Amino acid sequence: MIKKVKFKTFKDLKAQVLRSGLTLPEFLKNYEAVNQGITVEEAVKRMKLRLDVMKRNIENGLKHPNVSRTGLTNGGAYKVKEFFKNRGTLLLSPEFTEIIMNTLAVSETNACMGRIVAAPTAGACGVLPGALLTIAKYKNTSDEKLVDALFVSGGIGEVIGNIASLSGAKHGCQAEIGSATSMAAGAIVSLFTTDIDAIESAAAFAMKNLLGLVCDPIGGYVEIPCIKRNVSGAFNAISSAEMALAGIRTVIPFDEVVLAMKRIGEKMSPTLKETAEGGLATTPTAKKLVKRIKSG
Amino acid sequence: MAIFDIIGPIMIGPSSSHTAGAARIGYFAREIFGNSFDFVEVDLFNSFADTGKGHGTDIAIIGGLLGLEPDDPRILHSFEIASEQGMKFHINWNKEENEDLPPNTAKITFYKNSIPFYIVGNSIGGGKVEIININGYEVKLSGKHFALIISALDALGIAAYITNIIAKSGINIASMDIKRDSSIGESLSVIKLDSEFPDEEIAEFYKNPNIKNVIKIRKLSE
Ligand code: SF4
Repeated sequence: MIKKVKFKTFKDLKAQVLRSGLTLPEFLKNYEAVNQGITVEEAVKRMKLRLDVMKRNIENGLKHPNVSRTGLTNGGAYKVKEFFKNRGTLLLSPEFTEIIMNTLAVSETNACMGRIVAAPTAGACGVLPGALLTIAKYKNTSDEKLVDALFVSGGIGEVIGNIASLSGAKHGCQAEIGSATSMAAGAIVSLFTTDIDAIESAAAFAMKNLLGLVCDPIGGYVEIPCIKRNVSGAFNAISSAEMALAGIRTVIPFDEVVLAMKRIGEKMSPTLKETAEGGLATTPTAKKLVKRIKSG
Repeated sequence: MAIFDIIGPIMIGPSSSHTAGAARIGYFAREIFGNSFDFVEVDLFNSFADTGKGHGTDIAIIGGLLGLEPDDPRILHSFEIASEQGMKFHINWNKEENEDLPPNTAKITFYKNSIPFYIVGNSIGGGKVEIININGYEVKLSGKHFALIISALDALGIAAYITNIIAKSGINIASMDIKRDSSIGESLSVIKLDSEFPDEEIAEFYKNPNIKNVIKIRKLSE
């Protein structure tokens, strides 16, 4: 039997990748295959399944207005789609609007009990498809490359999980949307370069930008503010990726950024960690809404 | 952690604990009890009762009880499917906080010929669940292993008898846990196995008159 592979930090991962002579996605595919006891082809197939679900979420999530059981989600993605179709006054390029639309489509699908890919969690599931798949569409990226990019994002997520966590209940939203945006930033960069330092920098920028973000979902439902936070996570990933592709490098190594995230998360009041006892969740309007939902 | 747990699981939203985990508890309960019952009662506790409506916890558990996998999109229509299939159920939303139970807990009671059989499950996050009680016996099952759950009269040599049969089948025991309830003179053994115990050899257990019930549990998929 082949020995299981492990890495804890990004530094560790990078050293192993360089030693192996493989690219980062190649290394991670092998890593997952060995640890799961499957072939690399099988690992690629399983990731492709996830990619297909993400694509379907974007497609189906825009077919009609999505309305959730609580009523807190009410056709946002569809509105953006209509706005786009009717050539409303788009603020920037069509690509920009499409990123908003696609991210909302996936996150709303989740809120409406659709079948999604947690990435890394259900609450943050819109960031990766919204950012990565929309860019891929405009750059004519192949599925094969996209699968590779998803492995890269998984590797980044693994580092975050090792050093801190991917849980809003543990470290606040910085660990959910923060992790998702960091994973997406690295994944996007990996579509255009194999330079592992560029990937690391993108992931570090994205995480740094959301440090301190609290988890305060209204009523505990993964809708407000979660869904729109996915959109900001998607854009944050793209701008972080572009800065890294332009050659800017992070001063603070990614591992240390994640460590900072952990420390901040530990200092965060429990009322701001998924308990719906603080932040937006306890605003007068939120309280009124929740009362209505629970009674009806 | 596996990369497929980070980019994944593929699940029914919106909440890995309140929806995907709930579906899995229902699915797991049906795995344990089987699908032949007259009526099933679902008790939701703590956070499940508090925010379960908005998260579709009720729909998800019924979907699981129908045998739908936690990522089956038909879960959304589980109430309709249940009525088509004639599965009778009732959901109790226990609004009182129950401090003895974990935050996301469901108790599922099956009735067959008016005899109840219950399973308590707990959703521990990330879509993962644990069965923590079966008919009053504390257990800890996560679905990661094949398992046998054997209830027996608490007679001498029962454990040896059970392990002997398993040894003969050539299957490795990952762990074995025996709980005794001396007040009723019964024991419950939970045996986790490395591979599936063959159906045709289950009858071997019943040759011992002290063994009352053998439940086989498959490994739950991703
Ligand atoms: S606010 Fe909380 S529940 Fe919502 S996405 Fe962020 S971490 Fe998840």
